[in-house]
Amino acid sequence: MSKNATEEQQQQQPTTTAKSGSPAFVDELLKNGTAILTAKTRDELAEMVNKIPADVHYGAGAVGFNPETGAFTLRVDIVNN
Amino acid sequence: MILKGQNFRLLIQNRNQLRCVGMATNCTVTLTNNTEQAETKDDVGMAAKPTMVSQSWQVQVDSLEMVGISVLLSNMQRNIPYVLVWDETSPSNNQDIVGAAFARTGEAYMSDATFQFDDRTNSAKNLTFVGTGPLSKVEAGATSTPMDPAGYTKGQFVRLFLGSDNSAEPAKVIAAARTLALHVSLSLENSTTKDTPGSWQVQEPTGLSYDITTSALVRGADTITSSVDGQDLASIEEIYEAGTPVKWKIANVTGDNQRTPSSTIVSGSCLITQLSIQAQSRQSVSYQATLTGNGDYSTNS
Repeated sequence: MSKNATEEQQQQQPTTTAKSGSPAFVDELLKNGTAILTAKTRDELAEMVNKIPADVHYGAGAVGFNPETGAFTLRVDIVNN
Repeated sequence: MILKGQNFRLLIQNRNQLRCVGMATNCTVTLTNNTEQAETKDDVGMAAKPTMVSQSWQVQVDSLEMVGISVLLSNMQRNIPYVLVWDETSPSNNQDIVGAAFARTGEAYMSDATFQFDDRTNSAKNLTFVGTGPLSKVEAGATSTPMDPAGYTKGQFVRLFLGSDNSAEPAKVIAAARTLALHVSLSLENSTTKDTPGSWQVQEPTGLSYDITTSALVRGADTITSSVDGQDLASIEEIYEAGTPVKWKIANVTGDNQRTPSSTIVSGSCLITQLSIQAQSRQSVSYQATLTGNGDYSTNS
């Protein structure tokens, strides 16, 4: 892993492989160590988060809302603590 | 033409890519020549004669971007240094660096972070980086990578939950809360030695501490505990009086009254170290609780 972190970066390298049939954002999270979830409501975001496999150790940021697009955003990252 | 603040930006390097700190509102760079007084009896007059003993630098940045908070907290726990750059950015997008003569880069630890979630307010963070080692000019031809804009986080949608003790899960929200702030501090020690080249100070992390401050309104005899489940002044007093650690979590919330926790942002154990109650005539009674972290926090959701 690179020694250098960034402001909202430096995730752990993912150690879990993608599972067939999992949502695209889960595959992205497992592949890149980070994923941005977007939804039209907070409840939808919460449902998406529930689809992350239980054996994946991830951290979630604070939900953001973009008033220009009307979309809610949640960033999840593989973390190690 | 005088440079405007939106075109003086702090960037952070990751995987050989430079990105601006998203949704930044302000940044301050402080370069210090640390001196000692060196006047001797050989000098006539009364004037001081400082000589430089070392150089150090610090950067503060304020931002409204909160979607990456868990990674920041995780990095802080793992003592990971950052590579920072400050440079002028193009007015066309305020993100592309132009390689100004004053642009500098160096490695730094994030030594202090405050995350503020206040009711009906855009949440904000304030980060302080302390340089470790030298600053240098940014290489010619360096480029930045554009970042996607993140959304705003209104403070009422991020709330603090407490358990009743350290065995109980932190399931009860702080009722009628107005403010919430998480402050994390990474202690650094000046570890410069005779082996250190040049005059720049180097730093070594030595410890991590954090505290949480929240304030809330107080209901009268019709207490929140009896009407709407949650931690109110009475239960906070009981936790304080017990003087033992209690589990906490800061989580995104959904639902009516913004009380249903969804994804957890950060959690841990804490002691209530201060509780102050404010009761001014003709104003709502409020209390403020300071919770001091007991052991490591966790950013696992």
